[in-house]
Amino acid sequence: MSELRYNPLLGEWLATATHRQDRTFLPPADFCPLCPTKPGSFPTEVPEPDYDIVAFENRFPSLKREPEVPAIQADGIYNVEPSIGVCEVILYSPDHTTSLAAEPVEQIYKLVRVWRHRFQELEKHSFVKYVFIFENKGEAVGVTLHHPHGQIYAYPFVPPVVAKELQQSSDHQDETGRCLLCDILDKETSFEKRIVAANESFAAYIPFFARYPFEVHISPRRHIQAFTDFVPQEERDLAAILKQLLAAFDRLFNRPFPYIMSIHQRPTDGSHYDHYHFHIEFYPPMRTAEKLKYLAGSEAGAGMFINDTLPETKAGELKALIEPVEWKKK
Amino acid sequence: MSEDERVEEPGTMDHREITLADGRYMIFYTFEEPQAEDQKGENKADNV
Repeated sequence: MSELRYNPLLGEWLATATHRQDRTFLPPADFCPLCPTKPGSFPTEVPEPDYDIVAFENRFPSLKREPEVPAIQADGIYNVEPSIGVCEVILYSPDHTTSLAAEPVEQIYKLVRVWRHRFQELEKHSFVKYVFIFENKGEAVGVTLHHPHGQIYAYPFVPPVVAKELQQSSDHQDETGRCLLCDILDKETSFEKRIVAANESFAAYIPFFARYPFEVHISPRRHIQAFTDFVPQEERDLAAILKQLLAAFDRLFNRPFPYIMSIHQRPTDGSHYDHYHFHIEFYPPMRTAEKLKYLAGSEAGAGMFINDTLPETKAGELKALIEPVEWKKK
Repeated sequence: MSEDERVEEPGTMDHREITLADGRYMIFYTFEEPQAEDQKGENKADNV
């Protein structure tokens, strides 16, 4: 049973999804439901013996194309809606033991093109107002399946974090006539010390206002709003800078580095968002090799993050671990 | 990008959709390796 309930205190929707309590939880590698189904082996969720990249509807979705009627009725300030939307899983590789960081840049390039296609397809649904592409990596951020994969939530509303960014971007545009993220990118580029990696189309940096020690943002140099605006060179350059960053993450503590990857694009509600600027944000929970950054009183209860580190320092540490990307030569 | 720096393209992207027993869709993405002559041409649009 799932439904959307409105929080009148914050002006935000949340989803109840009680069936998710029963979802597969950290199965042994031999019984991974996201591996291909090998002949003579147990049937996984993918009924074919091999694949390259696969996208499919989540077996335990928070949002559904044909949601059930809510279990409880709306009552005054307590608004309830069916949990309409789409939840997809994207499998990056048939290899259970790999990760996006370990994959060759060519595979990441393929994934960028799949992300673009999923965005194009999901925005066709009239009920989808926002397509959110993300990855949770590592048990530290709540991963329940280790097979390398990401997810897409196609929401029936613009989620609150993006809504706030949209408002800030719109206000900045009204006040200055400029794009907020273009101005942030200019600041970071001219300051230089917080830049972690860069190429012709993108820059990766730990911003001045980072909340997590290794909170990296990747922004395109060109003012674009979504994957559908990318030219082929930008697709390749995004793959390249992702490869560089994720590999450097894993080198930080010589172990797979947990993170939440959050791709922020324009909404898909038919309105114009020329003031908005595509970017990717990483929220890694590690603050040292042994210590996690927890969302405690100030962060969870008041919304004010306390960063125990300086972005200028952490960016330098990460930049020192960046290595060139090697594409297969023709 | 110079001739020497040119990298291998993953080729055109295609996809095939199936319906699982419980009604969910599953989409398999495939990437054809480019033909030799294509490698010197301009980028092909994704075949999707």
